[in-house]
This record gives sequence, structure tokens and C-alpha cells, in this order.
Amino acid sequence: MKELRSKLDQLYENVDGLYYNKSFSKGYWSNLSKKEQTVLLRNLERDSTRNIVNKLFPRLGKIIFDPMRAVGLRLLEIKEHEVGVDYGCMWGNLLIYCAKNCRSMLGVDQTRESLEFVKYRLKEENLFNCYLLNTNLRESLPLKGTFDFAIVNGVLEWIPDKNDVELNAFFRKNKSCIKKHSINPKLVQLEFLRMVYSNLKPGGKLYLAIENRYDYQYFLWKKDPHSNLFYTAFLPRRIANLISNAWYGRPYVNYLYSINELEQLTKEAGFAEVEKYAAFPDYRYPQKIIPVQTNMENNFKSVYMLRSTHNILKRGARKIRKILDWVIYKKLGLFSLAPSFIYIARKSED
Amino acid sequence: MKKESRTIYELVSSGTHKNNVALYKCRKNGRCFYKKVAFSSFSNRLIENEKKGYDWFYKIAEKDYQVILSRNNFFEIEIPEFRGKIHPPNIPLKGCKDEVEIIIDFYKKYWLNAQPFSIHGDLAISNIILSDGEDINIIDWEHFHLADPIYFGFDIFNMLFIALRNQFKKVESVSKKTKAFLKSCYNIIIDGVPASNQILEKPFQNSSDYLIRFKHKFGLCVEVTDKYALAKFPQRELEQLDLFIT
Repeated sequence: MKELRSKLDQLYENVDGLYYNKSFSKGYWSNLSKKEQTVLLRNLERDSTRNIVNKLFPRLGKIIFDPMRAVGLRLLEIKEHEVGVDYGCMWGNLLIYCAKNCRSMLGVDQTRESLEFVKYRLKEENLFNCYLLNTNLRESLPLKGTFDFAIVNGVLEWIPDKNDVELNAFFRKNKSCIKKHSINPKLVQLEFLRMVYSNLKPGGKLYLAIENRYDYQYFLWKKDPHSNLFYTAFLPRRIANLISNAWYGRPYVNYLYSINELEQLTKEAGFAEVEKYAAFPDYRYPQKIIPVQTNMENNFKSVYMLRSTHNILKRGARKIRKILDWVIYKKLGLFSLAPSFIYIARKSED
Repeated sequence: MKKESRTIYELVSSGTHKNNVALYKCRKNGRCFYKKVAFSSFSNRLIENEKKGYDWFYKIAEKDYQVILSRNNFFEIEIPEFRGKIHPPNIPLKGCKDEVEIIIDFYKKYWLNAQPFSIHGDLAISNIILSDGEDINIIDWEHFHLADPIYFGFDIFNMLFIALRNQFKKVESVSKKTKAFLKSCYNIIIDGVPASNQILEKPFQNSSDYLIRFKHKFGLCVEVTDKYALAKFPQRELEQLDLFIT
């Protein structure tokens, strides 16, 4: 823990318990608008984070506080003596789970307001083994060989996007592209993964969770959650670009990958071994995580977090989806068409 | 570390009834087993309680198994894999009558004179594994608690009701055949049970009452009526069911 702190003290400025990268210009990525964030932070002086969120933004209660979002992290087999890093920790849900199970954690995020919120949460949870760093994930974090494990949960696809993202407003049509994007998103993502690799100790593990480019539902009725458009996830990049430029006036940069493409990417970044898992209904709230390409029996069962409905069309659609899930995943075992992947990638011991 | 010595995980279930517990099926070096893991401080208690349940069961049934409890920040237990027939949660009663009879015999053999007496709390057919030769293993001891022997029979009638609900939504729809089967189950259970028993006079009603009266013993994270259909079924319909079989 002291080793991590001394490294951070050498490299970054510490203001009120937050480390800052001085050369980093402010970034923003949040489910809340900047205005809403300000309201949230102002109210945190008066009551607990849970009460304030439930009162002001109840839709975010589950994503911020539900401990079951961390079920996938069991795959990392975190040990008490280990030091970890959560790249893009945002509200701190996974960071806090890890901090309770390991020696110390570093939470990194480009959104200062999110880290301010996490500070409150850490105080409420009586956790004193966490450090928070406000910096841009596209820049190199010179913490070579520091961490036993790293978490990249729903982050890789956003790395190439240089825009500030207020999620609700981000998908409004014809919103101008106010910043230039990376020329080659894949290269940016690869550089990021190389940095993650470099910062791991020999034998270190990466938990990488991301949507699948070829989720079968993208071919049918599901929008790409990163562009809120149909088909951009799996179409050739040039065509996805055309669509995004036509609709939003900005290129498509939130690259997803197939099961094999993602494995290739992690291996190009330097990782020696990759264990692949399919996550259902997605990696954010996994209820089923199934190892891919092993000899284990296929115990797939269709799971969705659904509110009950009397709408006949909705019920019919859900039934069709359940049948398709059964055919594709249970009968045919085609996990390459799963909604999300969780990869456990390992750095070699040498 | 060689690849073969690593554990491969499969998340089987996550946070059922908001209990903040996850169940993983694991494989390591060719051996399969299960891990039940807490994800909150409250669910540590559930894990610890489940371990007590398994220990109680293995002792009275004289089984040579062990459930290993790890008390990390979040508790977890390692449960051996049992080979045998596992039924889905929504199995109707008509699909498992033979199994029900075997289970009732097993329950009578081990629970009737067990010291101390206990309640499993969720003895659905899907939580019972029957292997060849009628060996029975019972899993999911999360709601285990010690109880007065006068409540002998609760687990069986809770089990019967779950299977019945999967088949019939209304008591009026219960067929004559099913009623006859329930009656035969009742006759097997009641034979040799002391008169002081508080369940068997009106088995479904009294089992429902037990759930409501002693809900604090079940370690629930939701309302008892959210977890147990028996607790929210109308009393007059339970009364009708009891009249059929007693």
C-alpha cells in the first residue's frame, strides 16, 4: 500500500484526497449531466450517498449500489495481499467490492465529479485502502509492474471517444462533434491495453468486460448502446462511420469486437493467456456467466431483468427472444453470439 | 501456475430474492464442485447458516461429505457436486410422484427422531438430488433453522404445495387423482407422529401459519409472501386442501 502511495505521490498532485494529473484537461463521462452532478455533490453533505441518490436519481440506485454487479469479479480470485486498479471506476461499485477483498485499490477516472462521489462512498464504507486518480485513460499511467489485477469494465469501447459524455444527452440527433476523435480507434484501444498490461506485475490478471460486436440481437431489434443506432455494432466500420456521421455529425469510434477479435487484441497487448466467458443478460448485471470453449456441460438458461407486463406484444416478443436464446445458446452452443463477454487475461509470470 | 490447476467458474445464479449470494459451479483438476459466495455483510450470515444446515444434514443422515466455509471479508462455502437427478424449479407434482414418495420416506426416517430437530426452509423438489439406489442429497440450506419437533412435517407440506402450485393455480382445479396422491402422502407422514404435532392436523394451513409466525427464523431478504407461495395463498383455499387430505 505504501509503495503504491509513494508512486502516486511522486507522479501526481494530491488535492483533498484526490490525485490529479496536472497535464490532463478535464474530461467527463457520466449517466448524469454536469448540472445534475453538481446538485448531487452539493446534497451529499446533508445525508448518506444512498439516501441522496434514492431521493434525487432513483434510476441510478441499482447501478451504483447493487453489490451483485460484482459477481463477475469472483473470476479474478482476488487475494487479501493483492493490489488492484479499476480503470474507469466511475461510481465506485466494483472498486469498493475489490477494496474489501484486497490490500489496496486505485480507482482511475477522467470525471472528477464521479471521484468526488466515490470519496463519500469510501468514507461511508470505512475503507481507507483506496486511492483515486483523476486522469485521462488515453494517456500513459507510468505505474509499471504495480498491480496484481486490473479491471476494465465497460470502458474499452469508450477509450477512443474524446467527447464529454452526458449519457442522456449524448444521443440527441445532430449534436455537434466538439472534439476530434482518434484516427484509428482500434489503435487507441490497443495502446490502452498495452498500458494496462505494462502496469501489471508478472502473473497479473486483467478483468475485461465488454459488449459483443456480434450479439445476435443487434441483427434484429437491439440498438448499439454506444451510438443508440441500429446495426452500427456489427456493420463494417466504414459503413458504421457513414451512419454515425449522417445521424450525429461525428464518426463511429466505440469499437466492439467479436470473441476472437477481442482475444487477438488482448494477446497483441501482450497477455499470454485468455479465459473467455459469456455473460447474460450482459456484463453490467450478470446473472449467468458461462465459460466458453470448455468441456463443461452447457447449463445455459435465458435470463433477463424484466418488469412484468400485460402488454401482449411485449410478452410475445419476450417469448420469441427466449426461444431464440434457447436455440442459439443452449441447443447450438453459439456463445460467439452472446450479448457480452468477460475475459480474464493473464500476464506471463516471466 | 499451469492452466489445468486453475478454477473455471460458471455463475449459476445471482442474488435470488435479493439475498446478495451468488452460486458458482466450479471445475478444477477434473473435479466439479460448487461455491456459494456472499456479496454483502448480511449475506455472510446466510452463508454461515447454510454451512450449519449442511453440517446438521450430513450428521443425521450419516453422510461422509464436508462443506468448507471460508471466512474472508465475504464468506463463501464450497459444496461437493452430487451426481443424480435434479428437477427444474417449476416441476409439477404429477411429474415427480415417485420421487415424492421416496423423499417422504427419507424425511420420516431422519427427521422424525432427529436431535435437535430442524427445518430446511426451502425443501422444494428442485433442491433434492436423487441418485441411483435412492440415495438422497439435499441442497440449499440457506433458510435452515432449529425448531421444535412439534413442527415435523412443515418441510414436506411446503414441498408438496410448491409442486402443486406448479400444476394448479386454483384448488378447485386439483384433480381427484392428485387429491388421492396427497392423501396417501399425508397418511405416510402422519403414521407414528405424536399427537402434540402442530402441523399435521391442518397441514397446509398450519404450514402457512408457521411461515408467517416464524418468518424471522428463515433469514429472508424479502417479505415472506414474496418468497413462499404458501404464505400468501388464501386461507380458505388452504382449508379446502386440508379437508381433501385429512
